[in-house]
Amino acid sequence: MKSLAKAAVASSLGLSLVLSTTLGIASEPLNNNPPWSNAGPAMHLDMSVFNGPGQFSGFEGITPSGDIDYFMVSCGPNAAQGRPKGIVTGITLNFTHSVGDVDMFVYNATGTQIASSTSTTNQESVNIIAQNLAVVVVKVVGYAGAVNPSYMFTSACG
Amino acid sequence: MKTSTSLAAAVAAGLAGMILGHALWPAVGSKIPTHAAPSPPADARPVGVRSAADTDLRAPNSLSDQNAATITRLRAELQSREQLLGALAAREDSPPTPPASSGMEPPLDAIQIACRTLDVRMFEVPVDARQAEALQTSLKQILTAETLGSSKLQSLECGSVICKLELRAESEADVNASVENLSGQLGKNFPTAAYYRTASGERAIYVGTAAADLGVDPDQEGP
Repeated sequence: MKSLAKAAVASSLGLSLVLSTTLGIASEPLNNNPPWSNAGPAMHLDMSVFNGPGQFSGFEGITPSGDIDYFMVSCGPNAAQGRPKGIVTGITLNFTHSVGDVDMFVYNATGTQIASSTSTTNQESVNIIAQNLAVVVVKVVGYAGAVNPSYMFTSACG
Repeated sequence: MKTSTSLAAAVAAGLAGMILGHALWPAVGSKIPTHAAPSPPADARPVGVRSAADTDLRAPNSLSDQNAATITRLRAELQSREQLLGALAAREDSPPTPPASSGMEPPLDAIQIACRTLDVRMFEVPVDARQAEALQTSLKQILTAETLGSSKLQSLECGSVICKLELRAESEADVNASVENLSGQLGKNFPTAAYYRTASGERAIYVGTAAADLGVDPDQEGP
């Protein structure tokens, strides 16, 4: 996965961030081996960070075989709901199943799995309103090594 | 474009949690679903396992099927109402708890409402006993000792399109490991799953055949 238009900034953790100016969301390849990964150097891992609801596409998708894409999604305040910090209400992936089957697994910020979507349709979707989480991490993989160079990632906040 | 300040703060907060939770993350490679055909369990189902399909699978006619389905549905509704009343009574007896500030720890209220909603939904539609049995059989094949790890299966129920199972383990790490194993085995038979933390080391897990099966909005469903 590659980000769109980029502007690099440094986070408080000393990690290199890359902001997407096109969609108002941030995409940042932290590195190819995040700290929780014990994957070997051949494993292709990416991490993107989204703030707020939105759609994101135009990156490489799941390629090559074995690629894993991670998204960290956070939501801002929701004044209408009286929430000082918004919650992630849903995650959706849209893609062409016939090109390659993509599956999705959703975790909270401490790595506890809260939902999964592994259908055989053109869409993977989870409703996670009841989990009441401000931050979630989404893992996208190809089923049984499937490759799909294009999918759209959508996050919803409440 | 979002400001880099707020983004950096959000990222720092999220990443700090992720890094702190490093030990809880299983190996990345192990999270890729294997989708290998699971071997069936060696023994009969665990103690306490029950399902809608168990009520009267050998009923000789449709009337018996309908009666069994009705009894099962009413039983589930009664059980969920008792759980809700128990939760409300416990909440009245305990001092008020401050609202979650970080959003990392979901309030039990929303979880309880979601579980109650799904419990009712599981038997809301007329239960097709054969379909419920097929779902349960498929799920049992996944629930091997290897998948469960050190977690214990507390219950297993299936309606026509939704199954619910409850796991209990000594620790969060143990139950997380079991959930991760289970998630990797659900494959295409149960393409949607929701995992609710009901207590420390405990999970109420709902699996369905379509994403819409498990969609819940506590704000709409709540009392």
